[in-house]
Amino acid sequence: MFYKKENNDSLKDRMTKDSITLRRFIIKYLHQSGGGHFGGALSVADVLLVILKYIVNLNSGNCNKTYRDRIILSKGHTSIALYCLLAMQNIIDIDTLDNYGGLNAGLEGHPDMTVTPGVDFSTGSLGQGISAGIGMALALKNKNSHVWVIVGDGECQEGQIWEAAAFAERYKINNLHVIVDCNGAQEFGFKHDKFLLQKPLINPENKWRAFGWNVTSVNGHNHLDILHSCHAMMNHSNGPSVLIAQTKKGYGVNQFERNPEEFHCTELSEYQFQKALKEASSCKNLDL
Amino acid sequence: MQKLGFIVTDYLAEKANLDERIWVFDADLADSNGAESFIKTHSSRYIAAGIAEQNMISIAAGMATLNRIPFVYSFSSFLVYQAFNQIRTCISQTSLPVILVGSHAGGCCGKNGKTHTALSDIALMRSLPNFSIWAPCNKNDIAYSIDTIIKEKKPAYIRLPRDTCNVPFQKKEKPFYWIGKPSSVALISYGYSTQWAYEAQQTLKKKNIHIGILHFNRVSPISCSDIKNSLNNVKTALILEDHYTSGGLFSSLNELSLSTVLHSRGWHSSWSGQSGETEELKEQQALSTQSIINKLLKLGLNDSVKRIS
Repeated sequence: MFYKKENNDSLKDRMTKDSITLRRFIIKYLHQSGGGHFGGALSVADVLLVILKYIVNLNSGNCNKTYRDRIILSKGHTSIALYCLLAMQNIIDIDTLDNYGGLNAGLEGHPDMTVTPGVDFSTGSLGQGISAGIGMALALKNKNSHVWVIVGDGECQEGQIWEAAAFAERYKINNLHVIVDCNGAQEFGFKHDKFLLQKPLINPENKWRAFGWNVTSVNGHNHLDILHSCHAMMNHSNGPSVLIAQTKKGYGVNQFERNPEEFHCTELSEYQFQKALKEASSCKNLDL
Repeated sequence: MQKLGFIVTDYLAEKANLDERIWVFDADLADSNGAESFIKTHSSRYIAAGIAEQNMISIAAGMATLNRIPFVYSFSSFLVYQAFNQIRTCISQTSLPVILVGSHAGGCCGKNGKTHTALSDIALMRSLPNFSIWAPCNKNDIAYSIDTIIKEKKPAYIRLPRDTCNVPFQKKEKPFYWIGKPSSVALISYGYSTQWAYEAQQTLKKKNIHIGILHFNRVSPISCSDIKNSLNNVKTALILEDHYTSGGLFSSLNELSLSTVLHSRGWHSSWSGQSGETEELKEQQALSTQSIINKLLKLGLNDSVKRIS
């Protein structure tokens, strides 16, 4: 684990600085590649940053080792956030981001473990990441290694998520940790019918608790709160843990936050791009 | 006589004594498909996934990323049809060494009927990159298939029937081989259909008529040049399929532009499966031993016998 005890203020500053860099990278490289999933990449950015940089022991030297922590971005459409972090951690070359999603770029549109170092499992078809994480956690049992899986709230509409949740409870897999990026929106959603419940996942805490998981909720943009919650999850020994990360879709860019469905997956005009970069550069507001 | 699934598990248990990478998964059918006996010898490497095949497939794939070799059991229908997307994304696209062990494949599922049949599973599975498909018909085939699969460290599908097979043990460690000498009019088969072919062969033998059977233990991939050599002196072949005649071995061999004239007998494409005893189903679908022999005679088996004599 890379996290060292240090003054919370300086750690907070460092994380904020990192998150600004990450947001700028996400916007820059997505725009450069012709657009993509701005909303989800920015909602999950802070969670991914904390996990990848401060929790898991993944680095350029141990990518191919069998016994180490694992991280699976099950909501694979936000791959750009993962790739930018892998570059910030020197696991992949930052220049490869220039060709994100291009032919033979080594960075597929959705994470591909067969071509990108640091991608622990291929994702993109939603709902499968927790199950794959269970397989890893079973093989890593008693190896002092943890498996982290990040899913979306919309993704939790997939039945396989709940097959996996029931299984992990039955086998009391305590080195498996799931984070739900509850950004409150999905591609098309349910706005066409005002009588339908609108959130992608209704009462997430109750649902996961009903499946026997240890449940914690957190502001998904508050780095220190995320970090402390993750440490508590690793100390929970009686079964799997889930962190409900309350996030905002497109967090850090006003135009994205105001229109989460529109900016779920889109391309930006030059004006929108410059404005987004500027706003992301001063994103320090942790209030939801 | 043991079902092939039970023989697979016995062999795996033996291998697992020396190979700690081997794990067995099952989706709540272990007593029917044969996975059960692995619990007795290696309970710590046995995973009861419950009735949740999609989850089971992805768990096995995740485990395979850590140098484990999971063998994943269920009925073929529930593996291939229920979890096809997970097989595609988590196993085929990653090329991870997860081995599907599907029992009750084909059309003979007793009272279970149409939901439990797998009549187009080969068509689906051979459309996926990186997979090999195996259809053993005896203990020796099983040992060869499992040894090869473990050595190759790639995805595989072992296709097994519900019924038992009594095709004699043959010490032939090849993806495909002749049972009896090659003949001008021959049978081609795999897995359970080799049992049908064998029954036809034995019936004809009593009438002093010989017919060779080219049995495929591995259905896919197949080597074009090797098959052409094997069929060198075969003018006409009837391919027996415990599968729809489209998308299975008949389709594969037709893609090879062989000089042998190929015909097929399998489950009719308009049939979805139904309850019934194996012999009743075969009779109804023109797959009984007598129906197969009649077809062979129409294809000139008698003439070829006369020519040979």
